[in-house]
Amino acid sequence: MTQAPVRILPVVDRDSEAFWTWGRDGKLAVHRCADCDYFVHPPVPFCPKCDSRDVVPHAVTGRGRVVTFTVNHKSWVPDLPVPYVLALVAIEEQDDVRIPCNIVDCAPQDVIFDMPVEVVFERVEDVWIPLFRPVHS
Amino acid sequence: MTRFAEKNTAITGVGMSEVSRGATRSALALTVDAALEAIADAGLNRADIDGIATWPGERADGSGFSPVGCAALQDALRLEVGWYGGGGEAPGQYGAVFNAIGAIAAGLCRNVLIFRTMYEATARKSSYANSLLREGQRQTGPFSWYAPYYTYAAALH
Ligand SMILES: [Zn+2]
Repeated sequence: MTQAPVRILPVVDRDSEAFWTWGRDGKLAVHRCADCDYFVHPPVPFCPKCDSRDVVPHAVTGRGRVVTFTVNHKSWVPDLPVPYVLALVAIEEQDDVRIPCNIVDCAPQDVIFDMPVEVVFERVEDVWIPLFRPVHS
Repeated sequence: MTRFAEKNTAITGVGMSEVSRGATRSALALTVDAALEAIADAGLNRADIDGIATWPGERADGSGFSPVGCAALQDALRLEVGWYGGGGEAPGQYGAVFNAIGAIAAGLCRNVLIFRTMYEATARKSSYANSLLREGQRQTGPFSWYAPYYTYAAALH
């Protein structure tokens, strides 16, 4: 029995802190403009829609859809379990917020475009990594 | 009016060093080999070279990703240049080519030595295996949004 290799963790800064740590409370944080409600991701305290500087983390529902995905079959590093799925998920609140992720709790061959998914977090050290799994209705 | 500076420039010589895994010569030595071959192929001498361009510039981190920059090669060949440039924020290797085109078009220089040195296959035997991060090192910058997801080779864009 081998353990999957440790994920490469992000350096957390003032802009990315909410995204990488609100999973502690089960929440997915995406920056949103306080003036016009436009979501800005990757997070930066500037709204490209209305020029506002008041853009702060907001807890979204954590639901979205698979926009596109790749099934990876090659074990690039020792003990990397394959196949696994890399995907871009659009959050349901705003379609142009695309979050890179792995699709989990799902056989890779069962992932399809537009599949409804919901966030789940994997804690590694002080980071809660957002992953997505199929929504079971 | 649109002006295509590249129409007024040409690649006049090429050179390539020995390519291997576990090189027996330094990255700088190999770069000198390729540079001298390119200069000779162009029918030029070292004294004719008045510009240098590379991508992404020197990274003295032991990874071998870009171990030789403009300064090291300029010094090794004792080149006297009017312009040089090496930086990562360019469209890859071609960034060095188009920086050189711009410099020539601007009249800053005439014969630019453009190079790219990679030593990763050797560095990972002598230094460390992962060419981008050391074990346990965290990812900074834009790629930090992808790094946690075993994003070794997938195309998601
Ligand atoms: Zn706004």
